[in-house]
Amino acid sequence: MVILEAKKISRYFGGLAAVKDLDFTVERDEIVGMIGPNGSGKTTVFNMISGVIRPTSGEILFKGDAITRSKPHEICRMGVARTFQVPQPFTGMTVLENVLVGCIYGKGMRLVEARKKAEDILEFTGLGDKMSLPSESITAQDRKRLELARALASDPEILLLDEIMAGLTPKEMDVVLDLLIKLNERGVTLFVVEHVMRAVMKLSERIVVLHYGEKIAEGKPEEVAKNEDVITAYLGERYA
Amino acid sequence: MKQYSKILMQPRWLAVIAVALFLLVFPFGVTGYMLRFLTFVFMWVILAGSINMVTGYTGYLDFGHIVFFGIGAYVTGVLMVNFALPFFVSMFAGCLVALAVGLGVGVPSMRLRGAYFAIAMLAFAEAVKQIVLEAKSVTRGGLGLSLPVYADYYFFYYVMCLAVASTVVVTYWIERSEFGYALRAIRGSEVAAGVSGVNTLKYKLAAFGLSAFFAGMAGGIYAYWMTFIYPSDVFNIAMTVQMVVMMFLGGSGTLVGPIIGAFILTTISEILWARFIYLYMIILGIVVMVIVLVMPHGIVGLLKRVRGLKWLSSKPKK
Repeated sequence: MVILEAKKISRYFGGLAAVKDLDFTVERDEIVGMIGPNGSGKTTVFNMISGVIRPTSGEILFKGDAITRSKPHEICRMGVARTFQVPQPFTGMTVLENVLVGCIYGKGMRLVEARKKAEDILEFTGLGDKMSLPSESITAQDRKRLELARALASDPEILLLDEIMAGLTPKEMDVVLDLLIKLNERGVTLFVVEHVMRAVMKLSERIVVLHYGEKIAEGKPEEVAKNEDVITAYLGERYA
Repeated sequence: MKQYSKILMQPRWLAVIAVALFLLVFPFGVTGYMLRFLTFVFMWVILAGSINMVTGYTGYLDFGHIVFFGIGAYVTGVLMVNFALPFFVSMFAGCLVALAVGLGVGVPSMRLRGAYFAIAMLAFAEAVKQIVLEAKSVTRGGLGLSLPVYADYYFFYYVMCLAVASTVVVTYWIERSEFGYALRAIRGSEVAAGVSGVNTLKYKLAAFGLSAFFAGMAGGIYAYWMTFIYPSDVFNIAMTVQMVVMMFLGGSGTLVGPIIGAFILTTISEILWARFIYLYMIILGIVVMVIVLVMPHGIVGLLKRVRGLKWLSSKPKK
């Protein structure tokens, strides 16, 4: 069953097409990777799915319903959660409070019920001992974890992860990979933007490759890695 | 019942009761000057507290906040003078009009962020002042509006005191409720708040409306208290600046911050104004700069930090 579908979505900034006539589908329980060189439009795609910006044209469907013109909070409550490439913690709030916001507003819980759930999520994501710290005081790696924790607060059906591995050591990366695989086993569909090839190749069942806002390849990780267009896009003509 | 008495025996609540009792008996045995002064302090507590609801909690710096004070004052005045309505009815109407105007202007202006929102609100406040000046048939324009005289300073003291109490109660509720979490999330990162399920427009508008309501209340009481209002007085930009300074001085986004800030700044102003009338604004400017540089989180933030340090040093670090 298709959980997320984009039909010919485009987004122009002025005359520049950040994303152009892009089609893709994500099946339920699947792990789909999206890769592409810098500026190829990956984050723009996530911004459109989560309602932060609207596509100039095209349609986005979540479980068959159009969410193209929905507000971010509506999309979140339907079951789509995301993280930000540059972590956006709620500064001035503690780590726990950051996740509480997601429980209260993404999941519709009361403050008193939300606490237990938020604590469980923080334990799961490895922030259990940092709950009461101000969110602006934690390390860059922990901010990445907090992004994940906050996204999980709304019990999403699909999780959009925007470069959650960037800046992590190989060891930390393995921990996060394990977390993501565990989440997927629990029935969370993952749509992953990632620069770290090792991670995305290992994790994804299928990969979509963007270049200048257009899809240039799609398929199993090993197929994509051999694709000439993909190699050209990443390394230039000579290597293809 | 037993539970309630237990809760009320906690030090925090005992302190609240003590302060309430003190404020209740304070007017007896002080000079008229002191009574008026404290009533003024209360007015500033309401104003700093009201701007704190929107600026302190959501991070939207409202540089036109005085507009709601002015609207509250003029609605109260016009209803009492032109329609001979009783004071409390007129004042409450003033609060509601301020609230409605806040929501109305908030829909377009709260699409802007940071300095742009501040500038838009500043311009809006000036525009409303001009409208009040021009609508002579209703407001008497630049001539000012004389309200029925009611010279009972005890009355205004207690009314202002009640208004302070309601401001504090609402702020306390913001601190404790889910609503407050939404506002603080918006302040932290509005985009992230949206994708975390917070209907950002709804909540920031609600905060704006509440803050307008209380500023309107202060304006309404002020108008009846002073018995004479004119546009450049009740729409005075310098008053917005004072509110902002008080809030930041005490600690924005906290319950007691604006109260402390209002007390300190009003007291300093009173002394400076009496002694160095020409240096007053310069000294105020220096105070602002010192706050921003030395204690960006205000007095409350400073106290928290000092307490935090003590707490840290008493516990061995791992």
